[in-house]
Amino acid sequence: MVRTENELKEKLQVLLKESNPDYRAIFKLTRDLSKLDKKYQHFFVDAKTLIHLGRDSIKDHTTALIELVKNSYDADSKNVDVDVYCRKGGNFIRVADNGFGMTKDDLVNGWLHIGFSNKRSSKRSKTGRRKTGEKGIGRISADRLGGNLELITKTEQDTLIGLIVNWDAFDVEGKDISDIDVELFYPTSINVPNKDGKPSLTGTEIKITNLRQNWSVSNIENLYYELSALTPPFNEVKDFQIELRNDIAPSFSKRVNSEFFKAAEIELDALYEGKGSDILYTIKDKYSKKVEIQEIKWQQLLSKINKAEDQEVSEDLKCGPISLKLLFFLREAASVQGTAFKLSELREFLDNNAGIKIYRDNIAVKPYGFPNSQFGYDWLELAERKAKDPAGIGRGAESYSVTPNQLIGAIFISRDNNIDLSDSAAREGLVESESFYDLRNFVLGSINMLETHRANIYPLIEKSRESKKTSSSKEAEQIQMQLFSVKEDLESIKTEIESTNTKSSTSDVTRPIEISIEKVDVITKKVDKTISELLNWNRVLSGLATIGISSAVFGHETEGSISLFTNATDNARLLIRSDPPDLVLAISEIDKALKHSKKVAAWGAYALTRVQREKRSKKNINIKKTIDAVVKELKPAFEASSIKIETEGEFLVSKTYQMDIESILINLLTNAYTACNLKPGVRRVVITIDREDTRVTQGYFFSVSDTGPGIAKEFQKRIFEPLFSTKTVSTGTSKSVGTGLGLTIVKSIVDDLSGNIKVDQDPELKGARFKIWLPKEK
Amino acid sequence: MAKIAIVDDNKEQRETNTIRLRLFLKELNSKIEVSDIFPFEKFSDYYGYIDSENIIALVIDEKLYNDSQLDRAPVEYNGSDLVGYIRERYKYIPIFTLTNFPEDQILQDKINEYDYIFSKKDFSIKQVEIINRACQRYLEENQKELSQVDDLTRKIASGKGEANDIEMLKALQIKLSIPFSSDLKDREEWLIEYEKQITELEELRFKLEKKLNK
Repeated sequence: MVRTENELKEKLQVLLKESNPDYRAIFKLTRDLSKLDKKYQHFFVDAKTLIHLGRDSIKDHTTALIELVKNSYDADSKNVDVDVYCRKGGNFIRVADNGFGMTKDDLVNGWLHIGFSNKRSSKRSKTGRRKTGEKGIGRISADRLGGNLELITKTEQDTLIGLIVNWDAFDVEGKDISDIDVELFYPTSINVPNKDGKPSLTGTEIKITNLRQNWSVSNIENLYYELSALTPPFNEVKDFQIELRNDIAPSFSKRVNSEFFKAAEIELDALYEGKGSDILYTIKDKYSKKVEIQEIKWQQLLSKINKAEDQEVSEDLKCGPISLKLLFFLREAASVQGTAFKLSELREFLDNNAGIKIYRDNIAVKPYGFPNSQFGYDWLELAERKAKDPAGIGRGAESYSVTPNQLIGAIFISRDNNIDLSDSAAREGLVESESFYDLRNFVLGSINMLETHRANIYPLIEKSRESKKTSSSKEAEQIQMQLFSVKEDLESIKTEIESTNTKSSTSDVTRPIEISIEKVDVITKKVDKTISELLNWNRVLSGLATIGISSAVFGHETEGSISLFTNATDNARLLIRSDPPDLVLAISEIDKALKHSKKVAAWGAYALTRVQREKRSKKNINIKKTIDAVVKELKPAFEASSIKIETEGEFLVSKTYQMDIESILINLLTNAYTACNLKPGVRRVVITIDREDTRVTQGYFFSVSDTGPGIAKEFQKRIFEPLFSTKTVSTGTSKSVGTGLGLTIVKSIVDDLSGNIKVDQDPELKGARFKIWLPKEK
Repeated sequence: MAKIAIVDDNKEQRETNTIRLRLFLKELNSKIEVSDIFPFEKFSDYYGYIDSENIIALVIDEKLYNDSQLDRAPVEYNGSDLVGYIRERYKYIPIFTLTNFPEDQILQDKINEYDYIFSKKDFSIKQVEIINRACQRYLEENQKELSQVDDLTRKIASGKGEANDIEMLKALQIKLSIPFSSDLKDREEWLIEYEKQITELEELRFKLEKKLNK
């Protein structure tokens, strides 16, 4: 309805004269009047624009919620409650903080002023926090979360005030933004988190209802980790805590925390004060008790990462003062020992948080180090570096490098001290200036420092692992012990109840306990049976693997026998048929064929007898006899390679598994055979058996020595690692033909039998000598 | 007489395969003989062996380093190490491998050096036919070229040789791996040497006559 100028003026005068003027109507009339101005006109904004602005500036609903939490941070709150309920618990999102709150003036002239942010004029909050948002549109992104927003706020000076926004009202065609009402109200209470244990006098509570979408478990998970990344995980900002509650993924209803950092293997701190070339390093690790403190020059650090060669290096780092914290993790069970969480939790945490992030004024700068960001996650290109040189830690400090998913790092900068590290206008992240490259190289150099440290402590790590490892049979014992103690505990509870309770109720209470005791009994027996079955299987599998390995090595001999058998037989046939027949030669060929047919048969028997059932049970066996029998079986193969094999020592009897002794011996003999063949000249293998007692245990040993080239010192520690092999196709090539399983099997059997294995050089034969010590059982 | 050499460290295998090769060659009416040896300790011994025994083809086992003989320790190399060394001097001599492991990777890597890879398991007349044919071809080619060398040498020695004859002879010498004889390079030097020997002979005659006349 278009009115004339006079009509408008009249109506306005009437409204102004009323005792309780309708300001909304007055506002609309004056706006219509101002459109009649012959000289000055204004833009009008369609209500829908607000919705577009909010929706387009925010990626998804998680980010929208994070924006609201950021506002709480900027409001100097110590605690923020974040509630997301969209199932049985209700249908709302709530963000409540104990920050400084807003006055009515703040609300009307600030909060409702789109595009306005006081964060631009005052960059620091009252308590010195560097404010995070600047665009002044974070609040309208709340539209992404739900159709209705209710805000209640309280400052020290003002009374409680509230505001209601119905976002859907903006989502209509042809209305001016100012046509849509935002309702104020004056509540009597506010629910915000306590501050320092006491009810907070100030704060803001936002409740969003009529939710736009259902939150999934992974949404909540994502939210949790985004919230945990919002504030530094390094406890730098101790005064900011977020409590997440929801009815979608109950396991994430908890304080957003960073406990996981206790599981770090190595912790490195680097500090650059902003002037000069000195960088101060503090390195701690789980293994060596002391803290290492080092001062490194910038130039020195660059040379570590090969950056200093072709360019002049300035004295200072252009990026200004930085501090860096790096945490190095392993994704293995040992990492969580002594902490409150499980390995699966640590892994999940690493999957979500690994990466090196940049924190400006303690708030993360995206995309650096964010796992779900395509280019930002590995912005240091650590994965590419690792791919170029994948050497493991065992190869020494020179070439060892970490992978990006093992590191969690934080680089702390600030807007005011690191002016050159400014935001890029074109995209997420910082401008790639010289300052940025200095920062990058600083981080890369520090990672190198960490790698060197890890390589240096590697022997310590190895040692701690060795001592931690328990053999499977010992583990079985431990399980049985634990079950036994559960049973004992239950029994003592039962006795206690019986002695304290009155007779009538006793049986009611003790009956379930009796049932439990019976159950534990049954379980103990089952566990016992399962474990012994598994161990038996383990034994058979080791035996079978041993046959496989030895067959591959000694196979040449069998192959030769098979071809000789067929060819000699055929020769004999031809010699008899020829004119005149050569019977003498024919007979000698038949003899040869017979001899080799027996060899082939012997090999078949060798494989068949290896895993016989009676060899799998524990009983008294004559060690020397067992060894002699194996030697006799393998002798033809050794002799075919000109290897003289001999056994020295007395008969001795011990209660053990025959198959274990055989598997150990065959694996060692297979290795000795291969080693001997690597050298020309005299070839010998000597097996020695003897008694040897330690201070506490009676025992015996058998050793296998050969005339081969021996084992290089650098490999002596690694030969027991699975899949490590020194067997190459021939001298001078690096192609491995070994399976790398033989010695691993030997080691695991020896561990299981509570023995030990040593390797050195045989003083007489000059090749390797493996000595197996085992306790003598009766 | 021309021979095929069998090189194998395993005595029994070597003997059986020698018998087989002989039997089948006979069946194919081949005049070629067979010589079998335990591998030499040093590579260089093979050249002398090939020349002095008139070896025109070799059948080599791959895993030569296992066995020993009464007076001989196991060697340090395998067949595919040896073949390259022989090829350095005898570029076109037929060389075969006879092995239990024809699929062996090191052997397969050297496949270009061999004329054929045979498995011991199926070593019979078909394989020997291949060996025999290769020997015949090698012999014919060599005989043709050797007689050409003979002709050229005579021509050059008698002073009738032209520039391209000398080039041709050099090429054949390289191909057949015949060491250059220094006296052919310079006829004058040869003559001086020849005359020196004649002088010696004359001196001897003179001494003898003197003694007889006494």
